[in-house]
Amino acid sequence: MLTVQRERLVIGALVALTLAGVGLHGYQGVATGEKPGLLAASLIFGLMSLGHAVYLLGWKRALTLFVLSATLSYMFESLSIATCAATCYAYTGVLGWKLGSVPIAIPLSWFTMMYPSAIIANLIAEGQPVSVKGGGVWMVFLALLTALVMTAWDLTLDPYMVDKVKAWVWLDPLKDNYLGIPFANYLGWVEVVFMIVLIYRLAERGIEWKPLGPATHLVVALPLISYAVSGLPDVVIGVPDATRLIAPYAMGIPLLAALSRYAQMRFAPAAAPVTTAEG
Amino acid sequence: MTQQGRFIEQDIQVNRLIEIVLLAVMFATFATHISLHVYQVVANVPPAQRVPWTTLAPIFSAFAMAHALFMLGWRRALAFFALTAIIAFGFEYIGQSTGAIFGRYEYTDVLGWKLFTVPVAVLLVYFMVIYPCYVIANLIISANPISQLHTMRWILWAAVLTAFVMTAWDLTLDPLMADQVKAWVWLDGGQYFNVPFQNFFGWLLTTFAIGSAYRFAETRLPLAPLGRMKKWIVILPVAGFAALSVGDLFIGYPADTRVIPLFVMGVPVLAALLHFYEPPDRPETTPG
Repeated sequence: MLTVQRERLVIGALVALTLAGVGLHGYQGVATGEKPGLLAASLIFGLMSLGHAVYLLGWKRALTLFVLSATLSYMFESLSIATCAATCYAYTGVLGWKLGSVPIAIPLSWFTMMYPSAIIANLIAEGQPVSVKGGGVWMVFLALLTALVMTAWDLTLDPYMVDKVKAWVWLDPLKDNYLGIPFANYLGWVEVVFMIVLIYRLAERGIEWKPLGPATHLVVALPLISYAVSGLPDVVIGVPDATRLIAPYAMGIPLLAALSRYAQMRFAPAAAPVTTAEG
Repeated sequence: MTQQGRFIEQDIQVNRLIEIVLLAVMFATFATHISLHVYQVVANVPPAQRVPWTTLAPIFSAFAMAHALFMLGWRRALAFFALTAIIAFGFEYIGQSTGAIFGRYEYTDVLGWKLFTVPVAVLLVYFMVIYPCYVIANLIISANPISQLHTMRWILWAAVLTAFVMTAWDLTLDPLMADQVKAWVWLDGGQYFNVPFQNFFGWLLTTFAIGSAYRFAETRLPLAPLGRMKKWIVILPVAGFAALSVGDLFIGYPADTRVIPLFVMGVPVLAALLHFYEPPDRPETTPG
């Protein structure tokens, strides 16, 4: 726990980062009718996710989640590009600096979206942003829900990045596909998120939970906002057109479900009274 | 209320005969519903030759009605059905005559008997789908299949959630019904696989109107279940709703729509089902 002043400072920084991300998406959307660059968006919201995780979980758990999701997603991406295991694709140069065959923005954006997706899943399942329930079955349920909530984002992201931004290309989309994206991509996303979340949940058990402060309504709202802003503007700017309809259901339903519990949220267990001295 | 009363009182007085009859109807209609949907996938029935809705609708709406009687009692069940049929008819009739609600469309004769211009099967479909969506929304909001929060704000919120969950189903249904089954025709085409965006606004509006009307009515009607609720009985409508689109993952039309139900239906169904499992607390979960 921090002193009240330091706690306010941390929360203030998280709010500022969220507003910056909202501003970036809003400005790009209104000025050009486009999504902001993936790297810029992931940097801002990624930093917010990381800071938020430090606040809510403590720096050890936060770093564990960050390292696991960034390295594992990087490994899975590199492997699937190298082997064409499920389906073949390749990144163009649009997303900037690459590490091997994968742009650095990619593992970053995996973490950036996985964190709010996990918060949404926790809210839906337990009515609070941090899961405190255990058991293998529950872990599997939560990992699956997180995977679905996160991959829902890709229903609008992938066609946009391929059709409009041309950030990557699918080399063999087959005859039956989703707006040009192979079905295997979606199964791959669900599997990868599922695995990362499950591994994190197993790892988390041995790591101390040291939140910096209480999970107030303001704090918990921030990742919900970053999730919403990352996909819901597609209602207006989505490409191709069909995705404009899909966004409010794919991402709107998890948000509505999470908000239903958010509105009933009492102070989560992370919300022990703030101590006045350095704890 | 007992501890299992998380779902409903177990020790209420019920008429055993009525309870058994309702259970029998639920069991028979649910089994038929699931079998028909499994058959379509296993036999890979071509889109234009799917089991007709004039068969599917009476079966699953009989299930929904039996379940509503069992869980809510006859007053609430009948009010739910009557409000659904009347409001849906109003929206469909006006929508079809003016084109102002769903966009410009016309029903063909594929769906059978009509009440003026609206097929009766359509009214049954509204009820049989909005009922499970009502249960799912309640489970998501209160971990209980019966609505628990009756303030104006929660009634409207729950109706919004119900409307989204129900309309999500139409993302896979509408292109198939219009293009292949030819149950209705979109006169101006549309941006979502030839279905106009406006159709989905119309669905949200109609289902929101039905959901909020029933939820308001419900606050004035007694909860008088005709049977004793058990977990597996609560799961049936959720599973029956899921069955409506699980098949679309394999045989959805057009093929593009096949990934959509995994998310738009998978998330609410999973979110509802989570509440049937009671996980243990973890020993290490007190913040340090």
